[in-house]
Amino acid sequence: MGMSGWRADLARALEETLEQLAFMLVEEQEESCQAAAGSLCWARLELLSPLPGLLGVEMSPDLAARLLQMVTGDESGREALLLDTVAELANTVAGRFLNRRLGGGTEFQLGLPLAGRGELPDSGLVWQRQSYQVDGGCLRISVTGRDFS
Amino acid sequence: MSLRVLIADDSAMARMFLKRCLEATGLPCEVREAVNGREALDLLLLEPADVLITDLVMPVMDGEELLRQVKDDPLTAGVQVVVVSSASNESRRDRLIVMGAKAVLEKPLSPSNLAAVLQQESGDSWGEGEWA
Repeated sequence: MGMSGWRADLARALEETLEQLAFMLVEEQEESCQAAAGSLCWARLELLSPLPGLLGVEMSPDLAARLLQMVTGDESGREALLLDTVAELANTVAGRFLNRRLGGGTEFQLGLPLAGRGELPDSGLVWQRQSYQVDGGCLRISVTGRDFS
Repeated sequence: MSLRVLIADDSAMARMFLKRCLEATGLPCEVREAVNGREALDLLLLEPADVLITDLVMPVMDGEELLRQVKDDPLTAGVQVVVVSSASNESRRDRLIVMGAKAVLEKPLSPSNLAAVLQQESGDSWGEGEWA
């Protein structure tokens, strides 16, 4: 299985998810979300099989709050709900991404997402990162695993 | 009479979204919530539901094990189970349907897809038509 198109599949998975979930448009951007690091909301989950690795999503709290509001109508911006929103996005993007990579005939397993504030825990691994502009906010996806280089 | 719905998902945001989708269907619903499969099973045994909407990836007991136990127990086997998950594809979908799921819907859920599944069954399976 060639992996040359995994970046395109990941971008498409994110675009589809945000468009269907909240009618949000996604644009790739050169600059990373690093400037706002420290206050970013992040979520990370394991891609268990058959393409083992980790997928992380980081986004600005403002963007997480807008996404939460669009999806649920909640305007409280409660911390737990913001982190839940990022975790749910990571989970959905991961599923769509693996569906694209594997096709419909191969089952895959996802782990439970972890979420928090600040820097995405990198565990000393080599991550592939891509930043996006979404509805005026910054979102970054990071992936690591032997099939993603 | 309202449709008795039990939502099982460990994500509070996902449960809120599902409730919003149910409201959008226009169907009268009484909604209860569980944060994992074990809690959902306990709630079902405590009080029956017409529909169980469940995620697959959950702590304590996942959605697939929940489906298996619901369908294995004569007390709960009649509950119509709708699986909503990002971890489903054609292969897994087919397996879940064989296990007894009424439908398997991909995240992000479209309210119209959920409405179609519920309305498709409104004349027969769901609560024998009493809720409509």
